[in-house]
Amino acid sequence: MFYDQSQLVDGALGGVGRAVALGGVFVVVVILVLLGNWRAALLVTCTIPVSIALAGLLLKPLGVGLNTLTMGGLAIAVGLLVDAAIIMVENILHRVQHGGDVQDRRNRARAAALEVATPIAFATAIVIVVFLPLSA
Amino acid sequence: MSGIEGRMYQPLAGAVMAAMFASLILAVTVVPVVASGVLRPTHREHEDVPVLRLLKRQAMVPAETQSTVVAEVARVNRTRQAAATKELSRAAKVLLAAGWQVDEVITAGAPLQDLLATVQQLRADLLVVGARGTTGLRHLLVGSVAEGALNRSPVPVLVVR
Repeated sequence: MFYDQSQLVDGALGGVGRAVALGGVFVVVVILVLLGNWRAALLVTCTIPVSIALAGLLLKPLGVGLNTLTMGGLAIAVGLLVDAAIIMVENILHRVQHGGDVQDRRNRARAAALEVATPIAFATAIVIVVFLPLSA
Repeated sequence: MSGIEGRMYQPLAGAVMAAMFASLILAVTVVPVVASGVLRPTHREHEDVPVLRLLKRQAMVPAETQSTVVAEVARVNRTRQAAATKELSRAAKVLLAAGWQVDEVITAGAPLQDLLATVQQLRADLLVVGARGTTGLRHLLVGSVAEGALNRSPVPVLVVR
């Protein structure tokens, strides 16, 4: 009989991992119901794992590993991080809805993206700033 | 933060911040590019998302109620218009008898705004208004046209009590 720490880590990470995944599923359901456009919903959904993967890349050089606490942080972030993508996708969808050729659609998507880029940056910056004292 | 709570919350907050930053970068770079390629025009009449449309439909007034309200508003407007015409022609008679030339204008809208617009339109030299002398709460809420005219009229104002 010996003490195997990996079982403990597996258990802890597994629990939080499931919570993150479940949170992601709920987010997807809400997006599908509210956006009513499966392409847009799929695109927003794709940003969740990519964002989290990118976050992992950012955290690694800071010496923060993947543990129960960072997983908890990511679980919190799953709901927040879709906002930026939702606003962006919704605005672009709104603009390209009425057709036009590919070039026209591209131009309108560009205009829509520029339109909401600053508000998105502000909104996200505010969430980041709120968590700043907690991380110091 | 320091101590045990710092050790607990630092990674959590760091993870949230990193994820938010990552989502921002994604949202302003990759997402618009992919969206412009992936999203197809739907040619939908409505610009709202389905859920909003449903809510709006629920909040809509039934057609019969709508037509009743429209008819009632029209009726009230007609009555008011007739009363105004009568009042105005009475005043016009007095002025005509005194040897003035009279143009009659009746508008439907916000009293002070329409009054000032008419003053500008006719290039009037003087604005004469009657003051009813409302006081208290009513005065506070509704204000008086005479007072507004005094404050905002571009031409001299004569207030008659």
